[in-house]
Amino acid sequence: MQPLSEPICNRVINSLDGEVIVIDRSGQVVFVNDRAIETLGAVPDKNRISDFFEGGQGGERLRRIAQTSIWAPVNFTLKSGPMRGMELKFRGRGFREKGAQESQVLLVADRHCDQGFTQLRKLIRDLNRDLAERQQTANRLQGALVSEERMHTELIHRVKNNLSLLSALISTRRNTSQSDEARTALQDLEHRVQAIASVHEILDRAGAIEMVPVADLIRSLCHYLESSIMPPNVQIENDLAEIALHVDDATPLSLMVNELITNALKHAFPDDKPGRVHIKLLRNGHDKLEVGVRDNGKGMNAARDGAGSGSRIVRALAGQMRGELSHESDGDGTSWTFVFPTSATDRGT
Amino acid sequence: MGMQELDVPLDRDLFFRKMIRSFAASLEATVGADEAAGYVAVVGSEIGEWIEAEYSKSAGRDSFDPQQIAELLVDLKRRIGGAFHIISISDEQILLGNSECPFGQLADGQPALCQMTSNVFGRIAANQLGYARVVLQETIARGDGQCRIAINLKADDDDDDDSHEFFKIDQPLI
Repeated sequence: MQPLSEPICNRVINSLDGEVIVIDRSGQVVFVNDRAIETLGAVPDKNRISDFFEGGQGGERLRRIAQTSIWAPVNFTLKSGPMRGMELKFRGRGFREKGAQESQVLLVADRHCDQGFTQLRKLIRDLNRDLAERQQTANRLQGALVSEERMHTELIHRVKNNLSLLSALISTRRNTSQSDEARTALQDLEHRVQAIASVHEILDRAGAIEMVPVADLIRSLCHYLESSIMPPNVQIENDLAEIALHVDDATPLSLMVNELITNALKHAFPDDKPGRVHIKLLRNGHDKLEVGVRDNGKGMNAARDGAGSGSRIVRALAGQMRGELSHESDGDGTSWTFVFPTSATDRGT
Repeated sequence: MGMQELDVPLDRDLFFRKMIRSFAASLEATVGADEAAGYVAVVGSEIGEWIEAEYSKSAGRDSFDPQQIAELLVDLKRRIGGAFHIISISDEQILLGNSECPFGQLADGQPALCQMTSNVFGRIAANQLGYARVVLQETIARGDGQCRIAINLKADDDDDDDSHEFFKIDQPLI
């Protein structure tokens, strides 16, 4: 009879229903079959038999059976894990590989009279099933999350389109209006809608749903105002730190900056007087952001310029964002400063 | 006539021999010959180490050569009622003969009892000389009329008979 090749021997041993473990004379695990890997997690050349089983009587019995080539029963007590303390039944014997000087020990699970392995296998099956169920739940949740993000992105896209449509409707109505007062009011409204639309446009372009890069937002606003109401004698400059804000805070900030720039463009430079509007965004200390809008125009008339709807909106937005709004104005221009807490706004940056 | 005056063949030695034979027969009948051999091997190993320790202590030495091992084995059998003798001794093999079983007639048809001898001999020889492979060439229990026991001291890769090997392992594995 031809001896079996090594690969076939391995397949046979790995297909056995019982655990097979080979240890050397020092107790080092030198071979385990697939079943032993499954139930004990044993790793050859890494684990020792003492990693899994208590010593004591089982240890002395192991030494006895390692001393002869006669099969003998031996019981081991699991040392750790959920089945700690359970007794597993093996049969074992010493053996010497052909040509080898040192003997080794072969241990084979004795399934015929052991309930321990049965319980251990059941526990592992239960754990694997539980793991599979949890994995499925995690996959479902992950899928729901992806789906929600996709829907949120789609919602942002639609809101952006609707706001653009609304802005266009207002613009059309403004162009046909015969009243200067109505045209001014509609233009202000159009800019405010556009300020909100800019937030959604930036989110939509980035495929984001929450965090808005504020520098991009302010640049977008400036670009829009340049192309709509900015007179040719005025220039807009900016110095903006790259900071992201949550959409809940980016939206009121966008409205506020829109109002302040619009006010400056409308009132600071009468009679085509040349001038500049400077916008800055920077961190203020550890947990605050600062937005500044400064012009070098004629300065504010507190009684007249501070009572308009734009100023009321700015103050309301500042309160909503729990920030501090201040301004200085004289013959050299007007400077607005808004400082607000990042803890409420600067999420995830 | 009182009970004490009856001619009953019962003494302590016979009682224990009978008990062991009964144990061995019951074990073999219950779990099978192979399984029983495993239990006997463990018992034989313990007995062998105990006897070896007693001889070492009495002789005042820890190691023995093959000649001394052969004499030790013959002597231990003599002390328990056997009649072993040395047939030959070399570095490769100790060959012993026996004409009287310590279990007497009780050994007939009970080869499991021979495993006890095999394990005690193998254990002592392996502990002292590093390795032993015991072959029960003839046994009274099998009806050969005498025992002939070969204790091979060198491992032979080509040997695949049903002999039992014994290894020296004195450190705990766990």
